[in-house]
Amino acid sequence: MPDLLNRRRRFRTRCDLPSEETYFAEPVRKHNAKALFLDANQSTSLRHLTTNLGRAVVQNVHVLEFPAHDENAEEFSEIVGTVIDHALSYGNDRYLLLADVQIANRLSLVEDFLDRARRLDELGRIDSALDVVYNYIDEMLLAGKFSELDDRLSSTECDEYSVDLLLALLTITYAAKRHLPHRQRFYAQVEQSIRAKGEWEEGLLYGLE
Amino acid sequence: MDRIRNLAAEAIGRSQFVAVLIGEPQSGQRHIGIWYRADDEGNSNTLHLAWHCRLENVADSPAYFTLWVEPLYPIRRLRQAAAYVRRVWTTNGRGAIPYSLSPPIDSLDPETGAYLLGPTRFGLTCASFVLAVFHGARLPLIDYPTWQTDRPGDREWQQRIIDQLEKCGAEAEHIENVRSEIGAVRYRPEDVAAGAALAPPPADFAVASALGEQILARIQGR
Repeated sequence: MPDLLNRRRRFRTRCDLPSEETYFAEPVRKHNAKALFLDANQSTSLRHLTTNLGRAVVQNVHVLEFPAHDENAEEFSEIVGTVIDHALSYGNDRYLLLADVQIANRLSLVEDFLDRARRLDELGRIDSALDVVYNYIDEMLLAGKFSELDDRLSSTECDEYSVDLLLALLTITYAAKRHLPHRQRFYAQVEQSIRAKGEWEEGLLYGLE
Repeated sequence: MDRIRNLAAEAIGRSQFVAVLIGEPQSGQRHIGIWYRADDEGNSNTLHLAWHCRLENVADSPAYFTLWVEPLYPIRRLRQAAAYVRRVWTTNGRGAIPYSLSPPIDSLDPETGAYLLGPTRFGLTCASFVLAVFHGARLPLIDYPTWQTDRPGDREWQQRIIDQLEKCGAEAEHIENVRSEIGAVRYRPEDVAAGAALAPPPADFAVASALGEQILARIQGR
């Protein structure tokens, strides 16, 4: 899990977290919970998990603990999904997992940033959703991941995203457009999608082509 | 002129996303900043380049900001601008932007291709910072090619900036960089505020500077 480990190091640098068992994922895939359960062999109760959720909410920090447990897999998965949704509704763009090393090392999936942005958007947390897009793509650009970003634009189904999220994608990628050959087509698809949704207005895409 | 609002008479609404603030902190010195929506709850902050390496992000707008204007772009684009402002603040932080006279355009490092969300080159003024942010959000406030250079008083003002940088102990290299930019276009705060108020954007120099004179008179109570 080199990527996860790198993220952990970066986060530790920023926040100086003391625990060796702290892992940073940005963000966690919604359906990761089930896989997580299947990987976990140690035992902790659901009550422990929900207690941790309470603490996370009180602190308004997205902290979840994923120790292993011995409860029903389906129920556990459902609860973890609820926990993630709840935590995401608070809108922070960072997501912290406190997990057993063994479990954390098995976390192989991270939620796609657009999925997460869409989820926040659907919760009515539009500004947080935009921050997810701006922060994530800006970091991709800073890292020179133009090809990866271009692939992402080419595979994005515009109709699945709100106008606000589509505008965010166009805005934050504009400065790198010369490095993103698929962006022009994406722009056309965005325009088409907005018109089809009946949300077109004059000047909406001004300066973004 | 009716788009320029007085903060004392009309506060910026919680449903708004971004606005340009202008005022006169001291006689003869105008200052400009950006009010923006900070989160989903509708809380707001004001971001402004106060001075050399002093980007300020405050919840309560400084009292010297007396007028505000909401740029004439679709509200959905203004929401994007607010997101961009948030990113500019988190990326640059307080000390990253020097005070200088560089143009407010440029987001990609020409050598590395790395994306530079914050303004680059030698630095910006309070007014060119506002322009840079809106330019980065793809909502330019002014039509740059129409902007006049070397207006009466510009070089004197630029020289005063160098004097003040020297007084405050700015690095010698930076001061030399600023000196090399004397004669660059000066974007006056009142003209930038005017640019935000004019339709259709971006504003032409002649129209913006005329409105800028009116804004200046209003700030100064003339």
